[in-house]
Amino acid sequence: MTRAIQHELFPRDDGARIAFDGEIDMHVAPELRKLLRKALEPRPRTLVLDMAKVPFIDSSGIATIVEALKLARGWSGTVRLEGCQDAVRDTFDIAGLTRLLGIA
Amino acid sequence: MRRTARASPEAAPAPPGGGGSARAGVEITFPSSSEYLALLRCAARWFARRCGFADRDCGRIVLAAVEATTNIIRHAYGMDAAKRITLRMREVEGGLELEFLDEGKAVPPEVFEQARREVLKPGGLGVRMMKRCMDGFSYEPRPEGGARLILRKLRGAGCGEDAP
Repeated sequence: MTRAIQHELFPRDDGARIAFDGEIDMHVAPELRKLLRKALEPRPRTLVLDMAKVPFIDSSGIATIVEALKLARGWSGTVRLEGCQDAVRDTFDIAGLTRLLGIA
Repeated sequence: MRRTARASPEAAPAPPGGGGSARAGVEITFPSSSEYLALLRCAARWFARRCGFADRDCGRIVLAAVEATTNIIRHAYGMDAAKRITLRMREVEGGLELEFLDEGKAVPPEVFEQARREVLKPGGLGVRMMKRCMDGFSYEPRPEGGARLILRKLRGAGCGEDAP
């Protein structure tokens, strides 16, 4: 019963976009951390996380994304979330991090 | 060791000294591995819908259940996947209750207060989210070892704690 985080990486002029597919929780957070660190290695100006196919995220996933954002800010880069489903947006509202992560 | 989850559709017993008007419920026991969070989400969502909660509240109940289980795995069991977690879900007057039982190390109550202040430290965000998703939160060590966490959600009550 092993779950992996499904994703696709797309280059952008100012960095990269990663499109995720599946639920993000404590089980996949270590893999998410590795993935984000790798995507941030070239120090992109912008890393967009496409959350359109993510129906659920918990505090482990959120903390991992916040960690990536803090890392990117080290070179004035940013990590931005796009396409959040209502349930995921509600989770970020509950966490009080909607503005920090630029969720529209 | 083969790890399995077990579910019982019988009435989940009311917690000692609490509840009172508890109705029929479900009890599931599963290993303390994060692999089982997907199963937990399915069970909690099914029960929340069965109790008549709207979609947004179902999502919040599921989130609180995941945060509670994650805390048990991380703090009570120190990531040991070979332990057990029991979840009792029951309908109560005006809503539902989720009761989590573990056999691990009890968390001192002040940790929850600390988590309230330090939301971005490990565990802090999860506790805060769990409290905001639900309307009642009760945590106590059990005399026989381990701890009991009870989360209560009332229909149409909104957010549990004030917005950050």
